[in-house]
Formats: sequence, C-alpha cells, structure tokens
Amino acid sequence: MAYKELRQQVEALKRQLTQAFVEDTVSALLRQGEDVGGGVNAFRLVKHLLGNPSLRDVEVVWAYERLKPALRSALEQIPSLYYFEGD
Amino acid sequence: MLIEDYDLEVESVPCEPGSEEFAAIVRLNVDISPVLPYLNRTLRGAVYIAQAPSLAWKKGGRNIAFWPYKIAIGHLEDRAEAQKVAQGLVDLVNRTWERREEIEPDYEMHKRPGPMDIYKLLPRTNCKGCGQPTCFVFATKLAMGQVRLEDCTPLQEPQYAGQQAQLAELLAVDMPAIGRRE
Repeated sequence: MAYKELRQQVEALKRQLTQAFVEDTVSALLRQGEDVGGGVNAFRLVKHLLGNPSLRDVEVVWAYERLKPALRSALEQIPSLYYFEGD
Repeated sequence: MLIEDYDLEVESVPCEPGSEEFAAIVRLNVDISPVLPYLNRTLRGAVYIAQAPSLAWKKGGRNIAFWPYKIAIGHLEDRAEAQKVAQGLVDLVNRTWERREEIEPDYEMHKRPGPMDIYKLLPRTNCKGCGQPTCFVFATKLAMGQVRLEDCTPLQEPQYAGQQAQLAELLAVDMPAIGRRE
C-alpha cells in the first residue's frame, strides 16, 4: 500500500477514535482471544482498526506511530483498560 | 505452568559503582530453554543463540537475557520496578509456553542491524539537529539504543515516511499491548 493512501486512512481513523469506539473495539478483540504477550497487541489492533489484515509490519508500525496520541488519549479515559509493554 | 516459583536478586550495576541504575537476576528452578525458540518467534528484535542457549531482547529501554535457569534484566530504577518487570517476564514465559502449540518455533539467529544498515536509511543531511556531529554517529548510537528514532527531525518529514517505517521495523520499535484491568 502507498503511504499516501495509508496516511489518508490513518487521518480518517483518528477522527473516529472516541472512548466508546476504542473500548468496544478492544473488548471485541479481547473476546476473540489474547495475543501471546497478553492482551491485544498493537499490531492486531491497528490492522483491525484499519480493516486491513494484510498490512505489512512496517506499515503497521508506521500507522501506529501516528495513531498513538489519539489511542493513548482515548485509553486514558477507559478505566477498565490499560497499556502494558509485556514487561 | 512452566515457572511456578523464582528468586529475585537485585543489585546496583557492578561495573558502575555509585550508579543509580540496578540490574536483576530472576533465578529459576526450572530449565526454560525449551521456550526460547517460541519467544524467538514472537518477540520482536530478539536474538536467539541456540548453542548457548540464550535469548537477548530489548524492551522498554531495558536489556533482557533469558538463560536456561535465569533471566537477567538491566536498566532498572529500583527494587519495586525489578519486581514488576520480573513478574511480567515470568508471565510472558508462562503464557508463551502454554500457547506453544499455536506458535512455530524459530531456531534461527536474527542479526541486529548495524550502524551502516541504519545509516543507509537515514536522510543523511548531517543537520546536527539530533545533537550528534554526523548522521553516522547518530546511526551508531541508534544501533546501541542510546538515542531514539524520533530524535532525527528530518526523518519525520513526509518524503522520508518509507525510510522511517523501514527503520522502525529494523529497530523493532516497541509495540505495546492493551489489556483489561483485573
């Protein structure tokens, strides 16, 4: 995928990242199962949010860097969820 | 459960008297070498050495090494942090072991990128904006984990998006997980 196209998708997604949307999405992914390191890995979350499971790792990392502030901000308002680093 | 119990030893870094950083050893009463190829598959940026056997990993700015009967952790602030990190790593080993049938073990050693691999992907403007005299010095420090990718200002510009993404992948930039509070 071209980064220009990915950037447009990321920008559109940022506007949807409300507290309720993030909570519903993460809860749905948790119900599907936890990743090996525990919880929902950002790789799976970003692919799911962008609706593209075939995104390459390099594209997911790039998209995540741009979504991080909006995601973190939404997560800070959700008491039942938390970020962890596997350590 | 693979690891049921462990002892934690926390001490100041021996080669740096007076250092405010601590290192910890998690002593195990069980051999965790069978789980290392599975961790090698799932942990980004891990370096597995089958002959040792051992697995080195960097997470959250810390150096972590898994050995058959111990886990070594560097760059810790205090004992409380050591306990939290140690428990997290023990949980990680246990979770990985429990899910080993879903994971294809990886016995290969994946080399960490060297300064030249990194340098080739930098904008190479020698702008000094990162505080380093040249981009190659920055690349060398990036390879050692002493500076961060975002310290390179030109790299954040749109025309370098592809290179930035490749570097993030090459350097196995941390990707967190989101969990539910108990």
